[in-house]
Amino acid sequence: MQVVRQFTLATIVWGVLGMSMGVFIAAQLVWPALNFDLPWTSFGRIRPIHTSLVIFAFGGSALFATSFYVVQRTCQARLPSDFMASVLFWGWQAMLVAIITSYALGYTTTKEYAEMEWMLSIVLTFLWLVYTWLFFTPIARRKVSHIYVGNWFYGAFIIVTAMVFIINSAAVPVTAMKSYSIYSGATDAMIQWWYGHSVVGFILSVGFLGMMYYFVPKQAGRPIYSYRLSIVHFWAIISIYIWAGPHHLHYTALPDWAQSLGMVMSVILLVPSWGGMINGMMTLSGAWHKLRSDPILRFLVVSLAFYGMSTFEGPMMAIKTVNSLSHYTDWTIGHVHAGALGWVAMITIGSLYYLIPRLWQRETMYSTALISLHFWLATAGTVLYIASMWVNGITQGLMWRAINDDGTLSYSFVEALEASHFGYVVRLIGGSLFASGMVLLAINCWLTLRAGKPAPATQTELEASHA
Amino acid sequence: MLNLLLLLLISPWLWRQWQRYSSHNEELQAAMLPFADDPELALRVERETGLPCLPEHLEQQTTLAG
Repeated sequence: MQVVRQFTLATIVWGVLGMSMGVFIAAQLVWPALNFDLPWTSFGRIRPIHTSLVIFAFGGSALFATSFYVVQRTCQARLPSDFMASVLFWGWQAMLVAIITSYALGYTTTKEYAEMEWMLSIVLTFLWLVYTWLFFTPIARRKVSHIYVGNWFYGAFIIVTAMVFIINSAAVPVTAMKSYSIYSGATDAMIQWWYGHSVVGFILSVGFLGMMYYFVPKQAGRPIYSYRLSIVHFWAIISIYIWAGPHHLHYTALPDWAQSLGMVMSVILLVPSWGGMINGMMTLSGAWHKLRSDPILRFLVVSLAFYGMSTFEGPMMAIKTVNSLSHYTDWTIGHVHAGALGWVAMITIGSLYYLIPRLWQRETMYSTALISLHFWLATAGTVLYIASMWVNGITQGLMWRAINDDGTLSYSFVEALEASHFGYVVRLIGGSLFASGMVLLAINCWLTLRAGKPAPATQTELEASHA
Repeated sequence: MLNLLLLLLISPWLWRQWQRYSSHNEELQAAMLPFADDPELALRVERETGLPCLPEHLEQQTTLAG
C-alpha cells in the first residue's frame, strides 16, 4: 500500500501546482504584462507545463494510485515487487521535474501533449513498461475467477497509451535535446492527433472510467447498475475512441474522407459514453438520499453529470459544420475543461476523499464541512469557467466569420480579442475557485494525517493490507 | 483482412467465454467484487438491496485469501 499512499499524496501536490499554473496563465491572458518579458515565463512555455502537470502529474498519479488500489483489492493479489513500485514512483516524479524544466528552457518537440524530447520519451516509455508489469501481474495471479470491469478499463488505458505514445514519439535524434519526427506533413498531423485524441480518450476517459466503476459503487454502497452494460460500454468505447482523432484536423490538408470518418466515429462515441454515464448514475438507484449528507458521493455524481455533458458536446463539436464555428476558438478550451475539471478532477477528488482515511487507517476525513465547501467551490468554478469560454468561443467564431457586403472582414482579430476580455476575467475567477478548492483538499488531507487518530484496524483490513 | 481472419479464428473461444460469463449469476458475482474486502459494507448492501453480496451467499471465491 506504500506506493498507493505515495501516489495519493503526489496527486494532491501536483494537482495544486498544476491548477495554480493554470490560474497563472489565465491571469496572463487577462493581464499580458504577467509574461514579464522573460522567455521562461511566457505563455507559450508555461502552457505545456500546465497541461503536463495536470494530465501526466495530477491525472497520472491519480491513475497510478487508484489502479494499484483497485487491482489489488478486486484480484486479491499483491503487486509483484515493492521495489519496482518504488522505482516507478520516484522515476515518475524525477521525469516530471525534468520535463517541466526542459519546457521552461524551451526544449520542445512542438507535438501537443507529447512535447518532451526523445530522451525523456524513452524514460517515460521505460516507466510505463514497469507500470504495465506491475498492474497486470496481480490480474494474472488473481484469486477470483472474474476480472472486475474497472480493471478492464485500467488495462485498456495502459496498453493503448503505450501504443499511441511510442508510435507518435518515433523521431530521429540530432542532439541530446533535439529530434525530428519521422513523419512529415499531413501524416505527421494525423499521427499526432491519433495520439492526441487517444490521450483524451484513453487516459482522461477510459482510465478514469476504471476509477468510476470502483469508487461509485463503493461510496454509494450499491453494485454497479448493470454489469452487462459495463461490459458493452467497455468494448464499444475502446473500439470507437481510437478512430476519432481526425476531428482535430477538420478543414486542413488531411484527406476529406479521413475528416468525415473521424466525424462519424466521434458522433457514434456519444452512445457508449452515455451508456457508461447512465450506468454510473443509475448505480444510485434507491440511494439518492445519500447525496444529502455525503459530499464525497456528490463529487462522484456531479463528475458523471459533467462527463455526460462534455461527451455530448464533443461529438457535436466534431460535426464539420459546428466545427467550422468552434475550431480555434475558446469554445474548445471550455469543452476541454468541462471534461478536465468537471469529470477528471471531480472523480479524482471524490476518489481521494474515499481513499485517504482508508489508506492511513483513519475513520473519516478531518473535516466533512471542508469537503462540502470544496465541492461547491469546484462546482461553481467549473460552471464559471466553461460558461465564460462558451460565450467567448461563440463570440469569436461569429466575429471571425462576419463579412461586409464587399467581402472584407467585419472585425479585426484584435476586436474579437477585446470582446473576449471579460470572459477571460470570469475564467480566471472560475479557475481560481477550483484551484482554491484543491488547496482545501491539501489542508484537509494534512489535518487528517496529522491530527486524526488511527482507527483500530480490523482483521479484514490487516489481511487486505498484506494481500 | 488479417484482422477479420484473426477475429474469425478466435470467435469459437469468444463464444465460449460469452456463454461462460454472461449468466446473471456470473455477472452478479463480478459486480459484487468491490465489496469482497469489506464484510460490513457487504452486509449493508445485502440488507439495502436484497441482492446476495456476502461471499458465502455468492457461492464463489470472493473471500480474501489469508
